[in-house]
Amino acid sequence: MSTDFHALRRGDRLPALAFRVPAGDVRAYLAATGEDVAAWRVSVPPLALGAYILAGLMEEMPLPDGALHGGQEFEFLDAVQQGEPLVAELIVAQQSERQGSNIVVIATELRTASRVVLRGRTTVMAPAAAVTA
Amino acid sequence: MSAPPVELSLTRLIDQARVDAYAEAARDPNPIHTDEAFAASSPFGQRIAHGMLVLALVSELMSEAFGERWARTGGLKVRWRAPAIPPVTVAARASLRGVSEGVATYDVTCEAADGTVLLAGTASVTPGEP
Repeated sequence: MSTDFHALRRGDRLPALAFRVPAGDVRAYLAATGEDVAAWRVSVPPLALGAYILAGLMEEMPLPDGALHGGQEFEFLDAVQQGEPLVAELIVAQQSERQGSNIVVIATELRTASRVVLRGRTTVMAPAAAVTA
Repeated sequence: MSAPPVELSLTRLIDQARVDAYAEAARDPNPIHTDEAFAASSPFGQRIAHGMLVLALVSELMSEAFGERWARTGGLKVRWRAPAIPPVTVAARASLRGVSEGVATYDVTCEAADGTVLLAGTASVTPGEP
């Protein structure tokens, strides 16, 4: 069951995302962005981790029409090896309405089996007309 | 610790082929990036590049300068200011704001060729030993 963006409230937890980034995915990501493949033979480009978390988030929570990714924060805390199992925890850190927009900030923590490797905060804005009570 | 570079920059064309490739590679299903008919009815009236694709240029700048230190100690805080409408040549720049307690902080921007600021914010990294 997917999550309704407009029903999100501060403190809500979204389903955790489990994924890996194998070498082939790293090559495809680098080919798309244009970044030098040679720099990332073993580990995963840290921004790619953020991109895959956002992709998982959108799969779980289809964004309403008119939604915008307005801001992004990341802390990269350790390198992630290609193929390493990862789990992202997602929680609604803020939710507010301002100037006709529903603004949601989702905090992310990405872990391997033994360590936190990334923290992030994603700001998504969507027209507030359809906000649920 | 060696002195961190003062200025970093790179320029890259973001065309629709790159956007399509990124959508597939990053598993981003949003049709506003890839579906011309869908995007025509969006507020932008046309397809736009992924914000994360534009931001990837900043991450590339930092990883070129700091290697895996970027993956271990990097930080980003950005706002997107305007959509990148392909084809667009994007200039990414990082200017050293200062170093405090071993952390180098950069002001970062991505601009279109016409001067439109696509994103702005800061990047930080702990350069460490050379």
